[in-house]
Amino acid sequence: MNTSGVLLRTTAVAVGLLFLSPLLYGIWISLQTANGFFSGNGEMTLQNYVDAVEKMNFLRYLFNSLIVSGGVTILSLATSIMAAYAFSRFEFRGRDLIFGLVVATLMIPGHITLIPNYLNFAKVGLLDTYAGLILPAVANGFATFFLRQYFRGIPRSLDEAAWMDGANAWKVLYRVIIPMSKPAIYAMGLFIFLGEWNSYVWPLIATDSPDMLTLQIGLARLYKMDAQEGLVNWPLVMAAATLTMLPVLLGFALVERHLVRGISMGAIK
Amino acid sequence: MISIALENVSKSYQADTPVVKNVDLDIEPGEFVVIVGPSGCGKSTMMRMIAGLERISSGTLRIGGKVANDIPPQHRDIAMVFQNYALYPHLTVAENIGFSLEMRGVSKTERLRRVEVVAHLLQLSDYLHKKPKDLSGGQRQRVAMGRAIARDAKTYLMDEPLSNLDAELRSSMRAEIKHLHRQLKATMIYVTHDQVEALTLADRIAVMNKGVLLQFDTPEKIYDDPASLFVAGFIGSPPMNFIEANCKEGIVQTTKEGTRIPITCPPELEGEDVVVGLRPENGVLSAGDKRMAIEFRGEVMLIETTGSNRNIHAKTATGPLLIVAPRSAAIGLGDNVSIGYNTEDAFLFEKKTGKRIHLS
Repeated sequence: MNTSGVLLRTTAVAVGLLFLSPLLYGIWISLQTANGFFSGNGEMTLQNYVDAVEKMNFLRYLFNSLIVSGGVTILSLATSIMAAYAFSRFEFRGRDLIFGLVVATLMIPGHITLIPNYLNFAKVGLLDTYAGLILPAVANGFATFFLRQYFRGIPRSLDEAAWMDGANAWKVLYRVIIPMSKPAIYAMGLFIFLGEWNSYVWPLIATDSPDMLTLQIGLARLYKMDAQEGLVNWPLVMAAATLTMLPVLLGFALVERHLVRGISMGAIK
Repeated sequence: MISIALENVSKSYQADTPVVKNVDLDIEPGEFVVIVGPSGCGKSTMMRMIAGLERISSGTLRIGGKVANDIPPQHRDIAMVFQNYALYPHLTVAENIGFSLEMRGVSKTERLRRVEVVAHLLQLSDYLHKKPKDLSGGQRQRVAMGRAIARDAKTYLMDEPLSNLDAELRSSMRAEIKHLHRQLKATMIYVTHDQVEALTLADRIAVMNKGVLLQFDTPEKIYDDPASLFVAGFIGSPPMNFIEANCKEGIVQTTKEGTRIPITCPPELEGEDVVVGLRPENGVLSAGDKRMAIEFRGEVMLIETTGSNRNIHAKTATGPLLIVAPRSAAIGLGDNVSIGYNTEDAFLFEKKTGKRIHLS
């Protein structure tokens, strides 16, 4: 390897470590006892993980987060795929204008719609329900835009061949377009899932009962709960944060190959 | 087997610029019709209108006697082979071939049976589990064909299906397509810009140019009796020689020295410019003797050996002239030759309109 290669690799490893350092530091803290952390005597334990699961009602919050993130991912992919299919394949009056409006929604900060959404959901009695957590995120302008661009890259002759083979619009979508767009759909699905998994503000204001909290809200409560006792139990909080990360890491590992391909394919088409 | 009729059909993408103009075409049940013409002549558009992939701007399309203008493609019972094959890349060869059957709700057992029959017919049995990307051009072409014939469609459309294949494979696939037509006994419409394909495959040929259907007839009739200058020049290989002339005193005349074209002109063309068409294969090389009625004198500029024959390119006073001579013809580059034709081998066209003028 030449000098520039060595320099490049060293820089890459250094930058990688820099990005990983908060995560590794958090995991390191989570493995210490509270006493060991504050006194600095380096006493290690796995008890924090057991305590996090018990004190935080972890399994319930995990279940809620999976339902909400999974629900949003499936439903917003379903609506975005259908919208993207219509925008990429059908001629109809006002198509470009409507698509422009969909893209325009990307420029509206989510926080602006918080209060109207809250009031509307309160009116229809959906606060503190799974539907109340899922529905506001189901229409996804970015996913529609991204998938529409991807679908446009699929040759129309494949649609036409399917029409000639006897497929209708639905069959063309789920037997030709969707299977051929798997990389893009996986990538978009993971982005949506991650975004929803980390979502904080809407679950915070739309839920109230302890049984409806998601992991992120539970984590914040755990932090506050201990803080009220005068001292934050950082090893416990870090253990809970590490546990919160695990399902996402697992999901990422499963679809990473598709994700990387999806990003690059979306970019060049 | 089903009839297909186009009545005064036109297609325009923009107002005032039709790509297909007032086409009338009557295709008999079970007939093999080849639509031929240069690139951009509207032949593929016409096929796509029959398939239902393009809307018809005006006119009527009848399939089996019924008006079909608004019937969606999946309900026309037409199978199509696309120029780029349009195979589903995510499906195996077997799934590609069986796709149309699956769309029609055919049971899996029956689907597999028919896929195997078609694969056997097209010699694809060893490739059923492969994806299209793992196949050669010829194999992909067969899969595209297999996908179309797996179901018993009443009509098959083929849009330049051989254009991506090499010469040898094209020739063998041509024979297979002809054979398939005999087996399936279905109506087939085949689009190509290759006149050899048209002549070898068709029961009847539709020659198109600039969106207009110029002639619709049997290959023999198209070759022997072209309706216009364009058809005469497009059909036939090597292409027909054209000599510009003028009708004067009832006779076709050129002012060029060494040229004699004793063809009688109809009185209505007196004074008009005309074009005389002569097929290269009808020309006779006669070194110096003046036995033929039509005669050109020239110098041999190029000789192409095609195997059984030689194409002789001569420079004459009226312009370049090409004739097909037997390989035994004792002729060399730079030789002065006399090229003769019988008057009955000559075609006469009006220069202004390109219309054929029948000689009495």
